[in-house]
Amino acid sequence: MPEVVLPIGPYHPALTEPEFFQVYVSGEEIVDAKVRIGYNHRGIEWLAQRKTIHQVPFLVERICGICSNAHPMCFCQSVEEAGDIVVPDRARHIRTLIAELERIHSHLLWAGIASHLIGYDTLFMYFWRHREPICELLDLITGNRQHYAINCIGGVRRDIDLEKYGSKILGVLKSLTPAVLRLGDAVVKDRVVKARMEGVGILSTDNARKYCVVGPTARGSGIGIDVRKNEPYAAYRDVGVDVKVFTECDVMARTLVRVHETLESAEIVRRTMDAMPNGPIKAELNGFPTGEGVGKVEAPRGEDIHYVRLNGTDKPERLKIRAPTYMNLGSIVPQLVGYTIADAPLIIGAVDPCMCCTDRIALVDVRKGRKLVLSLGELAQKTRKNRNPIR
Amino acid sequence: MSWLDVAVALLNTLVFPGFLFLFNAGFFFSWVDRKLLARFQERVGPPVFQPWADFFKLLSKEIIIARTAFKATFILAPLISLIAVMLVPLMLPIVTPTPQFTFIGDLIVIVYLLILPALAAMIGGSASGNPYGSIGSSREMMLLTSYELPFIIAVFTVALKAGSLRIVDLVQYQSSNGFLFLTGSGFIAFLVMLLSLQAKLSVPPFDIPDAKTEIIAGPYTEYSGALLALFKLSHAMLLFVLPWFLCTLFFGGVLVDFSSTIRLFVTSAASVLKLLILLIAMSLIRCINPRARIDQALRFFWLHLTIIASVGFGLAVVGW
Amino acid sequence: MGLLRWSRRKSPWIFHFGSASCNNCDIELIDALTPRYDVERFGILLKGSIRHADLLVVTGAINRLGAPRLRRIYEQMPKPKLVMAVGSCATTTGIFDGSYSIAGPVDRVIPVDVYVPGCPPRPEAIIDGVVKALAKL
Repeated sequence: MPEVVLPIGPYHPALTEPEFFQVYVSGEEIVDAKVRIGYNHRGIEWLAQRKTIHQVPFLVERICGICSNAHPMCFCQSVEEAGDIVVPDRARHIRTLIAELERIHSHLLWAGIASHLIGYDTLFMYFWRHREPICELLDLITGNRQHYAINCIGGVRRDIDLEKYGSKILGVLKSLTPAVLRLGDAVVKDRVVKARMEGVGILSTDNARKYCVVGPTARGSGIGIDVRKNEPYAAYRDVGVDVKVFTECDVMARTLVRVHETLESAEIVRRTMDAMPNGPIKAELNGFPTGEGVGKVEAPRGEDIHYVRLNGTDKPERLKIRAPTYMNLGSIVPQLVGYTIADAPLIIGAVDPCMCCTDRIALVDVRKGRKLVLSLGELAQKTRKNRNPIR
Repeated sequence: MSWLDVAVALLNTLVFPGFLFLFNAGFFFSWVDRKLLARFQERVGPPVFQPWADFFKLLSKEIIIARTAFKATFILAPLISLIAVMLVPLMLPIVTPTPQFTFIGDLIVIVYLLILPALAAMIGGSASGNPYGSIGSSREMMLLTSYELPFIIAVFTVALKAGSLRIVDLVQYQSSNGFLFLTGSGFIAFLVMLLSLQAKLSVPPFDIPDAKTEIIAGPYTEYSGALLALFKLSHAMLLFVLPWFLCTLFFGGVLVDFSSTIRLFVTSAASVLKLLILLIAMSLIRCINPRARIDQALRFFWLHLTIIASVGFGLAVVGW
Repeated sequence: MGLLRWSRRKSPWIFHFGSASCNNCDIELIDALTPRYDVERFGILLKGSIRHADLLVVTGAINRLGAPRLRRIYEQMPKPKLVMAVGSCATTTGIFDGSYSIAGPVDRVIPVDVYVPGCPPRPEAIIDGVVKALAKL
């Protein structure tokens, strides 16, 4: 049968963002796929070199709306490492709290979108309805439903008054947990949903390792990596994280990982609130730091890495961002081949692509004769030197 | 044929139970369906005039026909769909036991006419010159060949039970022997038809040709303006005609007894209630199900439902 | 108000085009469909095909790759049509002003009828934008 190229994207109702999957189909079966990105490229790394290091968190926050806390936190951590700045305890705990609330909202969002992708609009509505209280909660404690702007270099910008808001947070989490369990059951036990998700989009553990996937995609394929556990940052060493790994390697496994993570995040929020120490929320900064720093954060989609090079001026010399979806995107190709067009949106969705995080390019400044592009080896070396993991 | 006959025929075709009646009844049922879905999803849902507003808005939009489209078929498809759906009520009894046209084999004609909307979507989709249109069209084709089989077996089960291929005879049989729904083979045939109707109407779990997240809008991707309005109208009318058809086959028909005021009241209410309950049953199946994949749907219809329909037919043969 | 004009106001169908956006505006837009805000009450439906839409909602700053496609989508829309730019990036390129890969805010590429600022604008603001857009019909 002749091959037909079916373009999924760049602008397609299944995808909220532009990304181009060139899917080669033979009838309804997918035989090959190519991913083309660049539609969401905004030149963020270039812009970052033209803003001060205190303005950059606001810029990188707008890399992605859903992981809008992960990027500024990662950036701040990289600058703090470069300048040997110690973040006070209360600030670390507040960062953890907001990060976990963001993870809950991101996973609920994903669950809704995944349901919508298989045509289960009722479940989509239910998931997003339960997501609303989290957004309202974040609006209450940080001032905005989405871009929280809570991180700054040296700590956090705003304090959270637990006496005032603590009971509200606990109340929202209390009504969330049974709802997530109920909806999670609806997903896992429904016959038609199981037929759409089980055994679909298999990414074997070998392939997962080869493509270096991160986040729930990896944890659904038997690879138990999680930055919060492997290299604890913020307050994770104090409150602990329980990471669950599934080995079925299909879309259902990735779904279960996310359901479990949502419940675990609710627990972490409770523990963080209990352990919240008093104290300052921001470290004092003397001038502008010099040096290189790498920040690593477990964003809802996986490991996010920011590398920054500072030279004592107010602007960063170079900022390099490696978002999690960049690693997960390539793995979509082996997941798609052999399945049908109807499975394609769900398979792509199960990786939870965040194209806005992904569209980066390397910037090489040859005028100064300096290498600004780090090779994988150099980057690995930098992260291994991270002796003080609590940032 | 006298002038009076012609006048009555015209009245039946254009007013009741023809175009005007179907227009409004179809949109009303469409609203009930949407409202139910919204309520089920814990939303408020659209106001009652919404489907009418949608229709008139579409009429006022520009019709764009792509250069790659095959114009004649593209324009003809929605018309075929509409006319097919409008012809069915002329053979179904409503209020009075005798419809405009009644003859032996009209049951088969109705089954044939009910295939035409899906066929029209198919040819419209392939004529639109859009790759999504052609994929939608091929999906419609695959689905059509699969769900028609159990549907037709179920129809023949009913015909066998009542002993006739004429709708009027079916209604008469039920008025003397009780609803066909309450017999063994009738019950099975009803369930089979209910599920096939979900596919006929292109609603979840079988809205595969219309899958928005996969193929944009399937066969309707390139349609705009008045042509899209005609498709939407024929869908809405189908949403009324299909419960009516089911009601006639299994629940004694949508009839009104004029012998006394009380009977008039009771039978009218009962008829409306029967139609609404059938609509609600179809809507509920839609609310609680995600979309099946095409191969899963094909397997369901070709294998499971055909076997069940055949069992029903077997029961009718032995007299149950 | 004539019948056609009334029907256009009561039944605005949206098509969403997200160019280089951070997704937040897209999510707040889809949020408007969910039970808390439920815009289907006003007849607003999110449609998959541009040919079915009356209102083109654009989010995100327009990327150089996206600009010709946005132009094409706009031309594929049947008249009468309206365009709504949602978010700081769509109305003014926001924080990405000056970047080499941004072609500009939406009104550099297609004519805009309503601007909804915010980063991201709340769903209430988006609904307000739709209402203001409909007043133009």
